[in-house]
Amino acid sequence: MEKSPLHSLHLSLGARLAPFAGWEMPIQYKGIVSEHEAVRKSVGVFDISHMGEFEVSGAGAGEWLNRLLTNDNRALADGQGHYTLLLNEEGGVIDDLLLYRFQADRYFLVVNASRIAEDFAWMSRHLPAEGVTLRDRSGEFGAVAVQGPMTLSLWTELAPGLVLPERNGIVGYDACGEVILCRTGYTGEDGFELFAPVEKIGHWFDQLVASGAIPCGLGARDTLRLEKGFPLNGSDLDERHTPLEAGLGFFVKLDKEEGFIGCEALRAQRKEGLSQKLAAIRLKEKAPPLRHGYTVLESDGKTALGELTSGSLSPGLGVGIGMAYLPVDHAAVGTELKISIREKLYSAEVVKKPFL
Amino acid sequence: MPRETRPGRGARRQKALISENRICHETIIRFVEPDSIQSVNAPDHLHFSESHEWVDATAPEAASVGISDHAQEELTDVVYLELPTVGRVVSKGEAFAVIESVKAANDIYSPVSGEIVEVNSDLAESPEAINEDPYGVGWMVKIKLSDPAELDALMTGTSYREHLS
Repeated sequence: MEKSPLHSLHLSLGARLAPFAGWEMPIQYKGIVSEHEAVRKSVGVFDISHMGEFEVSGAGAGEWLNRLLTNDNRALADGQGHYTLLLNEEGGVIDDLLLYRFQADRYFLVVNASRIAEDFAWMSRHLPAEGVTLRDRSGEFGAVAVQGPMTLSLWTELAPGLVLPERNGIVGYDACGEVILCRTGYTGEDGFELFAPVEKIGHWFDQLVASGAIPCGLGARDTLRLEKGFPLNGSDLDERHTPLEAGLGFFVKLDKEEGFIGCEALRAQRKEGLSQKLAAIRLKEKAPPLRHGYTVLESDGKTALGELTSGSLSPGLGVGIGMAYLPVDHAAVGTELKISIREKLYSAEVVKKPFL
Repeated sequence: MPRETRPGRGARRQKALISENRICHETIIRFVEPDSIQSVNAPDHLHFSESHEWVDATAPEAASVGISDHAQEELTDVVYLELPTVGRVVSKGEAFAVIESVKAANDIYSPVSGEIVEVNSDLAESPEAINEDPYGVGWMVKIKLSDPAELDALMTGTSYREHLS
């Protein structure tokens, strides 16, 4: 089990730690609900040191990445980034990630902790003989995510010299060693992710907490992202489902002339039409919170349609919410469903994403 | 409740250091004190199980059952409680209820055997009462004991506190 460079700080803050993607990470400090609310109303700070960081450089870097990833990085200017996906030949999702362009010949990728090894192996296998260098820098960086509407005022007070980039942008500074700021997040609120050398990240985390950012665990990170309908890799995304089925078509540029790995499969899928879609599901009655793995049935409660890939209580809505891959004829907004929880059936319906 | 923090002096000093882009100081200034070890709240008139349920057997007709202060603190944010129906007969150690926090669902085990004669239906609307007052309004069921001698195998408040420490 890997330990975050912030491990001892978490313990001193009274965090409850649990395994996540091979890392022992804080799930919560004071409680998921109060941490969730801190991010929606003020500002919270998450340890995301488990995330992976790759750097791709060289004259052919942009072109090579464009043949590997679904989004079109020609849309990026220096200092800009976007959400994109790495697919297998069948169009299944190996990983979803953020790609940032420092310069035309230098890119920064932030990938999921659970997929670092797969991503790196896959990308290495497709590396051209020359012109592109791929480095896994995951071991060098610790990282924190600062999220919430008060992000900008807190950061401007704490570090006025380190100006945040625009939305989805990236900027690197030399302050306490290297520090990279990316204006993204996984909560639907304003915020940024800060990457710094592992021996320096504790310093940043301490300063952020001392400035009023509420320490938040992965529990709140999960409820925050689910309310916004953001998929979690390994739960809502996997190699058996395509980004089109996951409702991520916006980040897939099928019209890229040179194509990308998985492109043909997706073009065929688009032509034939989807058979299933990742639907957002909301309970319609007082019921236990939804959980990953619960069976979703037709409204008559007889025919099983699928399983929840994510589920929780929405702290913002006060009701159970979740997502599931459902046959397209049962995935339209307003479709009545039943969810089986400990052998009892509860009424639910397909709703529009985001939930909140 | 958010922990009290003191951003004043340290934050300004850090700001100055960063804005001047000097080499940053290595000392980590610790404004946030770790939680003081709080003494576990476990009244001595109650009996406690190893799975953190309590029994109040002071009333002659039926014993009240709930979960300990320690258990509610571990769970945090109780959002749902599924209670058994009145009339159900439970054995000691049998799962008779499900308690859910935002993160997970957990079984609650009966610390004693007997018939469930009453359930706290108020908790359906206000499960947070279990967090707020686990030994009072957060009681869950009343059980008519079939074997009062089972109480002797449970812990007193004092021994439960020792068990946790």
